[in-house]
Amino acid sequence: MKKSSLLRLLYTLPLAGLVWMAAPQPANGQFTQNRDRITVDSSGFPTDIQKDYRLFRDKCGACHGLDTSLKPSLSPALWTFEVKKMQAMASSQFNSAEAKAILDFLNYDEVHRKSLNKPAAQAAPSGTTVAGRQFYEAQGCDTCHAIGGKGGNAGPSLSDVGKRLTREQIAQVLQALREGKSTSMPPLPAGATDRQIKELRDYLTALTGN
Amino acid sequence: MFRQKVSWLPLGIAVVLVMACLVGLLPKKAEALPQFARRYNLKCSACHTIAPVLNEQGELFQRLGYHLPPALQPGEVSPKLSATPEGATWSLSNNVSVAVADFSYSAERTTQEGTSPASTSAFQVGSWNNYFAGWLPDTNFFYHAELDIVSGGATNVDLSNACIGYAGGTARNSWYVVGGREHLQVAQGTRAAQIYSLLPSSPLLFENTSPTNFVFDQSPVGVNVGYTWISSSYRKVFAASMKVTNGDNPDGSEILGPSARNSKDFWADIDFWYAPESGVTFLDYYGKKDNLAGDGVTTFHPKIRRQGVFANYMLKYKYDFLGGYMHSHDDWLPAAGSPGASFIGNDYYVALDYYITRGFAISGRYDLLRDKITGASSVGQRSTHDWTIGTNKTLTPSGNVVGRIAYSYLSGREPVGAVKSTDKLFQADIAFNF
Repeated sequence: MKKSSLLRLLYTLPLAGLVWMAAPQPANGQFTQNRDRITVDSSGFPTDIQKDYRLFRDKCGACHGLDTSLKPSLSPALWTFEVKKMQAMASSQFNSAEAKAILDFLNYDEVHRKSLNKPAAQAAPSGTTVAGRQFYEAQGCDTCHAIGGKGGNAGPSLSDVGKRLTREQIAQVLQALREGKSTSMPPLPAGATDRQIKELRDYLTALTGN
Repeated sequence: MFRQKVSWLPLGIAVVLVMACLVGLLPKKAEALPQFARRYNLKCSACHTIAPVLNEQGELFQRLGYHLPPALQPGEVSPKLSATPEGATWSLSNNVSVAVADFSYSAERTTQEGTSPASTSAFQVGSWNNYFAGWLPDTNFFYHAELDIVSGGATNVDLSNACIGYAGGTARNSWYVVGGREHLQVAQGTRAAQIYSLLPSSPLLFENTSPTNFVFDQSPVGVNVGYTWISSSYRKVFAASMKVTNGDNPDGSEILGPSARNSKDFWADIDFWYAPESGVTFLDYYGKKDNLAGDGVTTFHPKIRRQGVFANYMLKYKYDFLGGYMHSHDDWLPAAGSPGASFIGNDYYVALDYYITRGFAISGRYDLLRDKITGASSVGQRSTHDWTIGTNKTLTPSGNVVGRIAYSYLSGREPVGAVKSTDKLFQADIAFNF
């Protein structure tokens, strides 16, 4: 290799590294997200839950940072959906009995730790409907697409979805969720009213990142 | 903050520091692409048992054009690839790996009856590769480029992969077309057919086993097409791929000058995952190359053929039993004007990877190669035995730093003079994937 080429390389790579570091980073785009920054003191848990926690840590923690599962707050039905979804992934390594044990821990954690550590409600973005935001949070959409509490853990942030999608496009996505047509997101409850869907649509449409 | 004026002195120091860090941090060639872990916010173990060995998810991820296989329930409509979750937004850091490298120590002792033993040792940067890979936003086009800075312990800048592809269909029925420079074998086939294993070296069948020096470890230019079918819950996967390439000598070096004929490779593999993490692969390779005859001067154009079958069975996600067989049949010309001859090789290997915990495994492999040259200048059968043991452990929670220790003992007897030779090799390396 020519000396001049080597010199060019020596300069180019670190400069590329600097550009890389300067590039806008997604909120959840780095290995730091995979560090187990949330610690759970399981010593006070009932014995069976301690066992469930260890299983959760080993199985879920194999691919995800524990914060991915320990931060979000979901209803038992949504946790069941998530765990079943993960069980169906290629290379997942847990059976139905283990899935139940993981669910037991997640639901226990929901009641005994997360409920105590819920952050104060975020101020609603201006121009949005409170009802739409409440419905959004009640369905656990913020788990993956958090808005007030920064970016999501699994999905893209919706903080500027109103700028990226039209009202009609948002309505189409919500309708697909309502009909359970999405394989990547939990369905909206079958009992959701047209009014609730409309409020949610208006709330999301108003999110323009400002 | 990056807009402020930067004087050249600090920049020079920064350059030295970055280089020092990269050199100091540094292992055999790695094939993990950590930018995907960043993009999808997953640990390396989502796609690798221990990097660089792909698990089922990792292989599907590759075959789906770098789309994560979505969770599929029986009876559920399979989404189009373009509708599968794409993870974080596109950014340079989610498409580039600036250092996938290893830093290694090796000590080797070779003996041959009738001569004095020889010992060598080396403490070196074994490899340093950079990757640029991902998909184009809002499209099903994907790309993969690999710039090798250091390979085999030697600085040799080489763009060993540079290809662009398109993946279509649905998550359960997909196809892809890739064009450009692409590694002949990497990530084609189920686990037992992979050129990368938990041990530092490939089974002998993937290494030089013929007088023509043909190796699979090369990256010719060509077109690769594939089809993948996935059953619900990934219990079964059928995959087939085929590639036609053009351009390299048998040993992987490029044909830079005028060639008396075109080098051609034809590759096909059929893979069937019959249970989670367990599969079988049938492989066929046919090549026609420029090559030097046994006199080192005469050019001839041998046909090179490989047929193989490989399988692995993962028991309780703890014990991975692997095995493979490959048949080689190559044309060989001992010297100009001499009658043509054939190289016949049969290689068998069995291996066991025992995963003590996730990210911590011990491995053992036995490899037997029987080869001979037939025809007018026939040479009797030679048997080469290779025993290898090793251990791998991930050193970080995300699994992007892997330490490995391995020992191999290779022995064979030269058929004409019945002279025995041995090679004992100890290797310790640490691989960094950033």
